[in-house]
Amino acid sequence: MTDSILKTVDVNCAPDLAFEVFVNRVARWWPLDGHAVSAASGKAALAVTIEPHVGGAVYETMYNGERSDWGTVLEFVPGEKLAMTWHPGNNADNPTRVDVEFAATDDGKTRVTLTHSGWEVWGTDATDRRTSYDGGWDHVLGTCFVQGCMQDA
Amino acid sequence: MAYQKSLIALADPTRRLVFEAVAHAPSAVGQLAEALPVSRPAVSQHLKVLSDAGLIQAEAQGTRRIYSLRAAGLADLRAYLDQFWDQALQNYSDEVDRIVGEQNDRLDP
Repeated sequence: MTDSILKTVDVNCAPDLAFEVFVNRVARWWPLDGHAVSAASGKAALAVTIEPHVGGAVYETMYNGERSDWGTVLEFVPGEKLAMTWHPGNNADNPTRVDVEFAATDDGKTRVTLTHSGWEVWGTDATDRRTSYDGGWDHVLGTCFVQGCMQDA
Repeated sequence: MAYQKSLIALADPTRRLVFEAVAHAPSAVGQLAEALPVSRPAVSQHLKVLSDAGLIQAEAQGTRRIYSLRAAGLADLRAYLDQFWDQALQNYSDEVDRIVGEQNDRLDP
């Protein structure tokens, strides 16, 4: 259960457009009413933005217009690959990571593969993490989660 | 739903602190209030929200209640994220269909 989350979806267009929709139209398809920092206040977010370059910010425009940073773009190769750190709702010290790859299929579609990783890291230095109380969200999803799953096993 | 509750419960930074302290070591309310910059009544309130969300559990030891991590609650959280990506990517795929549809309409009036 500490494995990465791995998802694939085939979309009905070429990789360039698939990438374009993923990045530039993210606010059109992201579940703004559920998975957003605004949800903690029972509100829907107004938008999600992925700045289209390496080092660009990934952020939510909250229901009240404030900005909540979620991550930073690590790799940006139009039509091929997007990678970003991912830490909605907390400080950026210990982010997980989301990789999205776009590959053309034989029938003219694009296979999009999304990997949400970084949980494993939290198992290795769990002791250090647990002695400081500032790990926040990723500590919760990482160390604590891993710990919880190990108890399950 | 349990996982939605978990996320909302953990969105509060102070509550996250309380949660992490409990995850670090099973504790009573008094111990948590001593270790954290949070008043005892506030700790109790946070523990209640975390319990309601299924993230922690309480066990009576004599007159005290000891709070500890509830593994199934964390599994819910992971399951939530897993489902979340399914939903997000389905939405994304639908958006691609919408755009491709619009483009085709323009090409074939």
